[in-house]
Amino acid sequence: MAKKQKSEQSHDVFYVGVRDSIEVRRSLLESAREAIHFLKRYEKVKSIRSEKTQVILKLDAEVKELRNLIAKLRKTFPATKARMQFPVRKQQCVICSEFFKTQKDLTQHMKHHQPKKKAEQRDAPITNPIILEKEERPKGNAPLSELEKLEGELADIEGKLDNLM
Amino acid sequence: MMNDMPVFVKVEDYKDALDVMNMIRLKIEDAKRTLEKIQELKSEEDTELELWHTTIEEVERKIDFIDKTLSEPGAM
Repeated sequence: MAKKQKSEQSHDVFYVGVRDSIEVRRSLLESAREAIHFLKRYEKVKSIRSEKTQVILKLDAEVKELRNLIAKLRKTFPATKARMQFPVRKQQCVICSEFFKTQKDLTQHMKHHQPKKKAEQRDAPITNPIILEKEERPKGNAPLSELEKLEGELADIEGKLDNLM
Repeated sequence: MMNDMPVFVKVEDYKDALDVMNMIRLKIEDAKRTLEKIQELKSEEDTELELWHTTIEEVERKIDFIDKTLSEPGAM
């Protein structure tokens, strides 16, 4: 009885023929292979980004040292009221290369490039250390962040340059 | 008027200034090399991303073929 039912059920099964079955199988296998290559490349990109972050941090340290050396050099020169004409330097965004009239405009513009959510910051492989420091700064009467110090120094230098002109 | 005014620096300070100047030059060279390395890594990353793009397109093409084949069943 059961055998008969099973036999009847097997008659109800329909099949759809697949054209170019070998080509379909080949495409599937090749797609799987490409997906694995993709993942391998992801690992490579991850390592490149990690290395790049390290090198950027190194550059950051070098530029800070350079800044200290320039400050040291400035101290060796006497303070004078000598006036000198410097070429007018336009403020430019390092990200989108847009020009701005003043440092204040540039600072305002740079806020648009800052990541909005903290979660996004964590996911991002490379983050701007300067921006990060600003995000991490606790509220209240905390000491000035690196960015604020730099902005202060920059404003000071800009002021001196304006006085020279 | 002020442009023509001479500026004098003490000899010891002058020597210090030259030393610092030398250090600045070396540091600039270091920074330039580091920047070149960053540029190199960026190009490498861009190349990899370009390869990702090509791979994705290739996979899409294959999947399109499979989809098309499956949607047009073969005759008995």
